[in-house]
Order: sequence, then C-alpha cells, then structure tokens
Amino acid sequence: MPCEMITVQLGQCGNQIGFEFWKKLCAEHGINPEGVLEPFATEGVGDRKDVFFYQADDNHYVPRAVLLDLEPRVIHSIMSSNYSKLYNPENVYLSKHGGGAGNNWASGFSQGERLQEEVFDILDREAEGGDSLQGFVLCHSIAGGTGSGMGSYILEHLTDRYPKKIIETYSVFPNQDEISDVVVQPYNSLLTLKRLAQSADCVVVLDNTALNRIATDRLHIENPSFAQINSLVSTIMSVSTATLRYPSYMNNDLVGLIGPLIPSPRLHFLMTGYTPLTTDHEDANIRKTTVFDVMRRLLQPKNMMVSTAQERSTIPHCYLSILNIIQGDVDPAQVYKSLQRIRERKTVNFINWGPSSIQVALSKKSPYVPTAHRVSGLMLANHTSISQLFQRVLDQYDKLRHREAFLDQFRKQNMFKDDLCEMDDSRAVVQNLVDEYLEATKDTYLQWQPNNSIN
Amino acid sequence: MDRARIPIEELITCFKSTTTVEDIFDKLEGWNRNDVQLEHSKDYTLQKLLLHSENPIELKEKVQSIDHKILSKFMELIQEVREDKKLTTFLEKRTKEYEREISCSEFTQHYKNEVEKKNEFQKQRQMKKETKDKKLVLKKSVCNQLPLWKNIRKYQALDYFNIPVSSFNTISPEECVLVDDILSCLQGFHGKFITPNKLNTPITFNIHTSIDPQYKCLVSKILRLASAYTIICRYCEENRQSHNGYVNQALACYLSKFIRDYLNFIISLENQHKSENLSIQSLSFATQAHVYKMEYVARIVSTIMLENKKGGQSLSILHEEVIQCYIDNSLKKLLGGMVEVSTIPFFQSLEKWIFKGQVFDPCDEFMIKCGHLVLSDDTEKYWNRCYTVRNEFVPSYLEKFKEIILRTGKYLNALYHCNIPNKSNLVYKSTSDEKLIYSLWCSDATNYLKTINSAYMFASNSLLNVLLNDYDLMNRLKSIKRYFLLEQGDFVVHLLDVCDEELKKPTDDIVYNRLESLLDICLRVNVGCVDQYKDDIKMELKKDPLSFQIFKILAIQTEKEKDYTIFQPASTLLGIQSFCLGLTTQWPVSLIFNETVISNYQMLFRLLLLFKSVERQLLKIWLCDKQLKKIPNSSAITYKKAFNLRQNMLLFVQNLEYYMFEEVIETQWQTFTSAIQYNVKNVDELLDEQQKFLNLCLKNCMVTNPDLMKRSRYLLELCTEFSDFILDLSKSHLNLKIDFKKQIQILENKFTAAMIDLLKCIRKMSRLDSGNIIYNFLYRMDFNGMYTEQINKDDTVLYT
Repeated sequence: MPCEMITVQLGQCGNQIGFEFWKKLCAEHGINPEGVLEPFATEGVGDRKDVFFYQADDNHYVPRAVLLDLEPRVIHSIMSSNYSKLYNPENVYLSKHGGGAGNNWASGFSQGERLQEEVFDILDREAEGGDSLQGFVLCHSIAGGTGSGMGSYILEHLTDRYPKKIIETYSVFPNQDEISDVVVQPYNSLLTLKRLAQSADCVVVLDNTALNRIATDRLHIENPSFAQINSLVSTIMSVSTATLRYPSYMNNDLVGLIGPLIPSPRLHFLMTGYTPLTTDHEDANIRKTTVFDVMRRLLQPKNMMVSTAQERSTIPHCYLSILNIIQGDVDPAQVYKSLQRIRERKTVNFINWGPSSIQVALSKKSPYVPTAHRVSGLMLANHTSISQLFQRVLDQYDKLRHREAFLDQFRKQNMFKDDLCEMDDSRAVVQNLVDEYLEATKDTYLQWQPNNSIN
Repeated sequence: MDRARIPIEELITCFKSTTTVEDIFDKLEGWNRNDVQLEHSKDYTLQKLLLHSENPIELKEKVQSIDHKILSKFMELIQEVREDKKLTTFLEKRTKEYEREISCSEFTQHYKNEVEKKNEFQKQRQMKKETKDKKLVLKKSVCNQLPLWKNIRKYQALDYFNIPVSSFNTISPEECVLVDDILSCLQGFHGKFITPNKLNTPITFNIHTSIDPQYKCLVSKILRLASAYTIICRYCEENRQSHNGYVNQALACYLSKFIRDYLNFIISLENQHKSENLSIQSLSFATQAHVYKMEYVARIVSTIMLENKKGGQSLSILHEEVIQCYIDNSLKKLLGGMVEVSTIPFFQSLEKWIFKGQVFDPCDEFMIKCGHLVLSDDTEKYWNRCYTVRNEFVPSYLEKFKEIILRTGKYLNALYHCNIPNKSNLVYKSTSDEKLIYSLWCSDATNYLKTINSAYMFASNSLLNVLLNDYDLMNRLKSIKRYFLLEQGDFVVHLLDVCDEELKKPTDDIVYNRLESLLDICLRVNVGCVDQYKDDIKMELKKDPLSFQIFKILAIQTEKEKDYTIFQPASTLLGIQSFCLGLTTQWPVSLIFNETVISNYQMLFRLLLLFKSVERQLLKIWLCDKQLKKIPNSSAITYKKAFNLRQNMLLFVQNLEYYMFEEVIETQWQTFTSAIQYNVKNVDELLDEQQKFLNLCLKNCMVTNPDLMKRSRYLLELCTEFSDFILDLSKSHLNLKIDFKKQIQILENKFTAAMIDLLKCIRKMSRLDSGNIIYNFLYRMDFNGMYTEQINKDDTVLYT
C-alpha cells in the first residue's frame, strides 16, 4: 500500500498528543481500543486505514506508531489505559535509565545519541514494513528535554537516513503567558528550532499560548486541562490528514497536500485554525454553519492556534499560502462564492511576489463520529507572522544568554563542553529564518540574498 | 376419394367444365404437396375468411373442426361452397350468360382458388408450431410466390368485358330496355346502348345517340353510380391479395361487403324492374341516395390507389376523411367502419411490437422498420439503427406517439437480450386483456392510446428497473467515476508510482502485459478494491494523441481542426500519453456505456491523468528542493526563482485540477445522479442525461474548446520541460550555474507569458459566454491579483 506514514511520539507532551491522536483515528475508522474493527465498520466506507495502521496476522489493526520517552510516567499511563493492546509493544521504547532528560535539551540530545541504535532499529523496522513509505510524523514539544533534545537528534538523523521521505512535525510551542517552571526553556526552544528549520520538511506549529487562549475564550473552560488542550490538537492532526485517509480527487498524498503550502523549502512552518470549535460537553449552540461562515472564521486570528500579534505589528505580514480542508455537506459553488466574498472584503493579505490563493480541499469525514455541525474546516496556512513566534524565542534566549544564566547544565554535556557555539549557530539559523519570513512580506523577496556568513 | 368424387362431379357438371374429376384430384394433391410458405397468421387468415363469409360462426366452427385428412377437408370445403346457394345461383347465371365465350374452367379455377385459400389456413396452423425465427423468411416469400389473381383472372371483377354485342338496334329503345341496360351497367356489364370507356378513370360511358334526350340526362346521372362502383371494385380486386399490404387488403375486404350490399340493392331494383317495370325516373330516384356515398368512397380509394398508398399511409387518408366528414351520419358510420377494419391488421402488428417487441411486417407497410442488425460490438449503432420509425408509414393519428411506440418495442427488445430470470414476465400483459382498437377521438375511454401508454410505461420501467436493479447501474456509474474520472485519488497516486518506469517509455517499448498486471495490482490494493466492478476496468494503449481523439470524436468545426491536428504530432507517444482505461461491458450495460460514451470518459481520463502526472513531476521537484534547505546558498536568487517557478506551476496545475474535479465533474455529477434518481423515466432519457453530463464536463474542462485546450496543454508542456530540466540537473551533478540561471529565466518568461495568454483567453471567453464557469479558474489563479495588471494591460491596448 502506498503512502504510509510513521508516527514518532517523543517525550511527555508528544506521547500525550499522540495518544489523543490515535484515540481519534480509531474512532474515525471504527477500530476499537484493542485494534479490532467494530462490527459497524466492516463494510468499509472508502477510508484508508493503511496510511496510519497496518494489519497484523490476526487482522487487527496496529498503529504505525513509535513511542519514545526517557521517563516512564506518560508511557505507563498509556500502557495501562484500555488502549494498551492497540500498540505494538516492540515499538514502545522507554529508556532503561528512566530518569528523563531533566528538561534539558542537551541531556535529551546526548541520550538520543546514546540510544540511537535501539531507537533506529525500531524506526528502520517500521519503515521496512511499509510498501511505499511516505514519511514520518513527529509529535513533540520544543520546550522540554526529551521532545526537544532527543527529538532534535532523531530529526537530524532521520533526514540523513531518509532524505527522500517527508518529515512532518507537530511541534508544541510553550505557553508564553505563564511563567514556565522550565527555566532553560528559551535555550531548549532555540536549539530545537534550528533542527526544525533545517531538518524538518513541514512543521505544524501548535502554540500552547493560543491553544490555552482558545480553550478559555472560545470554549469557556476556565482552567483547561492537558487532555482538553490535547483533544484540540488531535482534532487538528486528524483533520489535516483526512484527505489522506479518505481519498477523493485531490490531496491524496502528503507531498501533494503540503507541497503547495511550502513554496520555499525554508519557509515550512504552518499555522492552523479550526472551526467550529466545541467540546464534548457543549452543544452546538452556534447557528447554522455555512461554508462561508467556516472560511471567514478560519481567517480570524482568534481562531488561529498560533498567537501572533498581526494587528499591532508594523510589518505588513501576509499569507504565503492557505489550504482550507473543508469537511461536510459542501457544494463547490458555495466555496467559490465564499472565495469571492473574501476577496471582495480585501481583508486577507497575500504575498505579492508570486501567485497565491486560498486553496480548498473538500474532504469526506468519518461516518462513525457524529458531528454537530454541517460544515467544519481546518486551515493550514503559511503566514509570515509566524516569525513573531521565533522572534520571541530569540528575544527570550538573548535575555538569558546575556545573563549567562543556567548554562551550567548544558556545559555538562559533551556538545557544550568546550564552547557554546552550537547556541550561537542556532541563533543565527533562527535569525535567518525570521529574516527570510520578514523578507517574504516584501515584493523584493526573490531578489533578497541572505546573510551568507552563516549557512 | 369416393366421397369427394360425387360433389366434384356435380360441380363440374354444374359449371359445364371440360376437366375430369381425376384432373382435379391431381391438382388438389399437387397443391397439397406444394410447400409454398405462407405469411398469413392463423388469426389473420381466419379473420379474412370470416369477413368474406356470410355466416362467420359456422365457418369458424368448420375451420376448427378440420382434421388432418386432406380428402375430407377438401370435400367439406367444396361442399361448403356448394351449400352457398346464393353464390351458386349467381355463378350459374353468369355461366349461362357467357357460356359461348368463356370456358367454365374459369369458374372452376375460381373455386380451386377458394380451396387453396382455405388450404393456406391449414398450413398456417402447422407453421405456427414452427420456430419463431423462421418467420422472417416466411414473411418475405409470400408476395413473390403467390400469383396475382387479378392478372390471371381478369374477368373476376366484372369490369365491363369487351364483349361484342350481338345485335344492335338503332331504333330508339323503349324505357324498359333502357332500364335493363342501365341495370347491367350498374353491375359492371355492357349495355346495348350504353358502352363504357374503360380507359378513362373514372370510367365514362357513351350513351347511344338513339336514346331519347329526355332520358339521356337522367341516364348519365345514374351512371355516376356505375363509375364509382367500378373504382371501388377495381380497388377491391387490386387488393384482394396482400401484395399492397394488409391494410389495403382489409379495406378491400370491408369494401367488398359494401359492394355486395350495393349489388343486393341493384338486384332488388332488378327484381322490381322485372315485376313492375321500373321507370327511369324512379330508378334515378332510387339510385340518388347511393351516388353520394359511392362517390365519396370511390374518391378515397382512388386517392389510395393513385398515390400507391399502403399501410399507415392509407390509414392516415382514411382517418383524415373521417375527421372531415361531419354531415352524413350513415356515411360517417361507413367511413368509421372502413378505417376501423383496415386498422385491424396494422394494430395487430402494433400489438406485437408494443407488447412483445417483435416487428411483424410481411408486407413492408408497418411504421417500425427492423434493420436486422446483430447485437455485437457496436451496441450504440445497434441501439440507434436496429429499429427505426418510418415516418411515411405512421398513421396520422399516431404521429404524436411514434417516438413512444418506437421506444416501447425497443426497450422490450433490449430486455430480451438481457440475462435475467423470468423473461416471460417481460411481455406486456394488460389487466383486462386489452386489444388495440381504433377510435376516432383520443379522449375515448376504450382508447388505444391508453394501451400504448401503459405498454410504454411497462417497457420503459422494466428496462430501467432491470438496469438499475438487476444490473446495479448506479454502482457501475460510481465505479466509472472512481476510475475514469479519478475520484479514487489514491488509485491514481499508486498507479503513477508503480507504473512510473513503464509510462515514461515510448508506447512501442512498453511491455503490455507487465503494465497490465501493474494496473491490475493498483486496482486490487487500494480502497477501491471494495468496488465490485473493478474487474470491468481494462487497459488500453491509444495510438492517437489525446488531441486527435478529441478531434475525431467531436468533429469540431473545420477552422479549428488544425489546432487539434498540429499541436501534437502523431509521432511516437510516451506511455503516459497513450495510457488509457477501457471498460468491458455486457448487454445491456453496454447500452449505457456505449462506444461514444466510453470514449468521452476516456478523453476526460487522459486529460486528467496528464494533469495528475504533471502534478506528480512537480511534486518530485518539491521533494528535491526540500533537500536544499541545509545546503549553503539555498536561498540564493536563482534557487528562489526556480522555487517560485515550481510553485507557480504547481498552483496552476492544482488550481485547474481543483476546478475540473470539484467545480465541474463533481458538480455535474450531482446533477446527473439526482436526475437519474428523480427525473429519468426511461433508458433514452438516461442516455441523454449521461451525454449531457459528459458534454458539460468536456466543455468546462476545456476539452471542446480548442483555444483553451491548446494554451493549457502548452502550459503543461512547459511544466514538464521544467521538471525534466531540474531532474536531469540533479542527476548530472554538474555545476551549470550560469546555464541554470538562464534556463530558469527562459522557462519563467515562457510560462508567465503563456499563463497570461491563457487567462486573457478565459477572460475574453467569459465575456462572450457568461454561463461558462471556467472563469472560476481565472479567479483562483489571480486571487492575490498577481496577474490582474498584465491581463488588463494588454486588454486596454486591444480595446482602444
């Protein structure tokens, strides 16, 4: 079967959102927590389970998932849940050491290096299992130790080992509104960002700041739990893969889906938006949803899962590309009319150095998961304002670095034993990324030459 | 033998024949052995005979009681003739009158013919047991093999034989003699003073000069009746056999009864004359009542005769006459009877057609013609040409319904060819054993239209239901959409992946079987594998380029032709250009997916596949480009230009794909399927809807527009050129930086120019044809206003 994807879940956050993701996929394909097809789903509705699952000899479905962590807490909770039998136990890897990475990127990175043989054994075996592997999906957070550090190591080496495969990440960015208990978070973020910029082909940015804000503002949850936030994330993940799992005319492989979103290889950070948002306990109190409602709301910053301050910025930020995945009862004529109305309102800015438009993918949805809404939509957008997020990382890094704070933990690791030039190098890479995004807002982008001294 | 001898001997004596009894036996046996194959159906012959008969019930009983022994049959028949005293008397009278000139054998011959006619019926009965398919042969043979009696026995019609009148009195005749003369004339004999001009039509009479002028005027008035009589008589003789069609024959039958009434009337006048000397005045008075009627009928039959009308044509004439006749009730009744009777054989054919789907037309007069095509490969031709309406033979009262009538039988025919259980259920059986009966006005309760309509409803519903239910047409259509219209996207992705190497080769180098098995794998492993009709999908490698197929099938106006023929030379095509899907179908599914329909689907498939393969090439470039991230200078201007060009091309291809798939195909598909669900009532409508769907898809996917087609194909070619260039570059590992930069610039210029050209063309088109949704594509392409200025710039130059 073509176009398989292997999901790699890393660290506490990665495993949690991965867990929610698989729960969602199982529900959508009618697979029970043991991996057995539900009686109502045996007919098949034109869905492709094989993109994310394979069938074991006894025909039950096994996720193409690799679960990695350096500390046991989350994986243990997964393995003691009713989904424990779903996963291939050989693909669940817990460091024997068990002590975690101590929220230290360098520790995670070096442990990744040490455990690489075992980890890549799993990954290679899984990759060989597929007929035509499409790529890897990495779930992690950039702030902690395992997801960021070990994730960075795996990212670098996956790209080397599988240069032709697509590496897509769902990367959780830390909440800026809270004071983090991880003091070295800016270092971790910066160092991970360098790998995301250089080794990942497509990064779906999940900004905890925005996710929390959406949970409180839009869903009216006072203190959103991880599970509630993660359910938002899993919705994003499942809808963004819907066209692969429910094939129709277009966007049936990953490259066809993300290719047009990423015009320039470096500018591969995508933000997402989803509407209408509901939680389990909330009824659909939003009035009748139309395609236009969905497409209009998707363009509103308050529905974006990335917190940027587009309004306050003096820079004319703009979209490089937009893909709206619309699910439900949709007439293509309505889509066209919505596009017309959106264009007439002139509220959406696009780049002016190349053609760009709101691409639409009409996707089927699972018949097994009832939804309260006639139409729903996910936006995947490549917007230059994402650079604000990176600028924030740079700023915070600069503050810490200026004070030379908390560097001792890093110096303990080999990588930083002699000097901190890895940090300087990362900073330059991220700065370049920010610069390129800012240049993309200008019509002179195609004539722009980056600072050649680094990379 | 012995039983028969006596009556035959009697007959011979009676007719003063010179033949012997043995001769007659020989002849009778000769006829019996003669295997002349006859066309008449049992019922029809019976009906004909019954019409001739004075005593139909008795005759019918006789007919039914006939056993297989020829002798007793002959005897009974002859006896029956003999028992007919009236006829015998009549014949005896004739014999006496003409004994000097005519041999009695003429009359014996006539009886022999009567015998033969009845014998025919016996043969019919045997024939009926024979298989149906022999029928065609039978039908043809009749007209040729039976002699035309009117040519052989010209005196049968009593049509004023040229008899030299023995004595001629020049003295002015008495009134009594004159009445005798007139009465003879009225029966078709020469008079002494009145002689017919046989050559004139209608016949005219020379009245001898010696006749008193006071009678002359009256005589010529009376003789109008004789003129009319001869015309009708001639018509009856002419159509006694079926060589002018059953309709005329039936009309002739009906009219001969009418003639008999007329002759009875004349005979009664004759009796009157013999007993009390009829005066010319009273004769004239008596005949006046008949003249109008006779002349009316004569006019109608002479029209039929002169214009050689038959079948439905005759019926049309009769029908029109009835409608126009509103004065005389008895005439109206007569005309009504004429059209009613002559419609019987036509309606019998019609019943066979609309109840069973069979064409019964031995005399070549029915409104439906069977083209005798065999249901083979070309089902479309079969469907359109096997059965056709012959407009000239449609009776005027069925004119409005000819299409329905044609379809009714066509559908039944189609059903017979289907592989379904209980074919016997496929014959239309009405609830009340309906027969088609002519009626003047359509509003009548017992109306043939009601029957035709219900037969039509039955046939069209049956066929449509068989197609939709027994043959699961909707799912077949879905399967077509899945594969031919690429709805099963993962199938296409897989196909292009797996067959990549093969499809790159020139068509001639392709290992057919390998490619075929690769296609088979793709059909089997994807989500589509649940499709139960995937096995009908087969592979085809077309020899002609897509453009040529379009040109060939759509036959576009000549001025545009060259666009199709030149913009791709029909040289060796690559696999991807010749690769095509085909469909294996069986009747009756092949009726819906006929050759034209399939080639329309194929054109769409080839076009869409071309787009998909170009998209795939561009995405390959994207995969190459992504590896440049880490390489220094990857953001260099040249690289960025290449990235941007790739992105432009990708947007073009994907936007056009989205437009074709979602806005054209899917939208039209919804209309199409809902039409099947709610509107379509018969197979022809279904075919029309499908063609409408295909036409709209072809039109809106620019296939049928040479201008747009040429431009978008050129853009695709540029995309291919670009991706080939980049892929070659990454293979060769040569540092051709300057060439690279130059080449990208050239391609970019070409692409942008071609794109603007296409968009301008679309803009121009949508101005002319506002209903064309291709403008949607332009809107998408120019969503951020990238091209607006350039499109407008040249336009203003153009318009000022």
